Amino acid sequence: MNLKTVLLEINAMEAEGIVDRYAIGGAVGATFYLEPVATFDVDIFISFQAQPGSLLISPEPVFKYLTERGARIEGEYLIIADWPVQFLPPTGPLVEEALAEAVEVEVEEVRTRVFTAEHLAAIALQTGRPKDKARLLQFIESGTLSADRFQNILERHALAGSWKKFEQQFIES
Amino acid sequence: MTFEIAQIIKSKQAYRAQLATRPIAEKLRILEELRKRTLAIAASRRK
Repeated sequence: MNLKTVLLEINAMEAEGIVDRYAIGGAVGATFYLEPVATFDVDIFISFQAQPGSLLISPEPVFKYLTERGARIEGEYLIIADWPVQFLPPTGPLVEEALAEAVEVEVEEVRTRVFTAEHLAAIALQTGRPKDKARLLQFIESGTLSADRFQNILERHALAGSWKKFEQQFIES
Repeated sequence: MTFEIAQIIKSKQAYRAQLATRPIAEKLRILEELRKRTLAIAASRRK
């Protein structure tokens, strides 16, 4: 499985200290909880330190490490084992929390980390594109969300209003 | 088998729920196949 190779490469990168921590998000992350969700790429959220002498966080060490191991760059993506992989820094407190609270899972004896279902659902609500709304509905219909955990996340990240609108538009109708 | 739309929707939901419970390695393999098919369809549209 090519995705297993992707995970092995990212685990090696984390073990080498290139990134502090990573977790799978996006459609591949959602597939850990739902039926497989078609996608073209893998979203890997990473946390890492700014380089010495710089206040900016740069993806350069990630790109350098992985290209030296055979990955190739295509635009914003690194192609690893035929999969376009996008490395994303936390874009705000919700994703920071999702990364900190990501859960460990095992795929064919490879340890990895994935956002919780509740964080994936909350991020989908916050992002709000049509495909994110569809994913949020999938989470709700699947019954995989813990209502308490989901509500707590919505309240902590000021998403209660967005949730109310979403409920009115897609659930109560 | 039926052409009753409510029954068809129910059956689709049940199939999706059943897919969701499969082992993660199997789901990721399905995801890889889905991606290959989507890319093939996209390539054929460009021709």
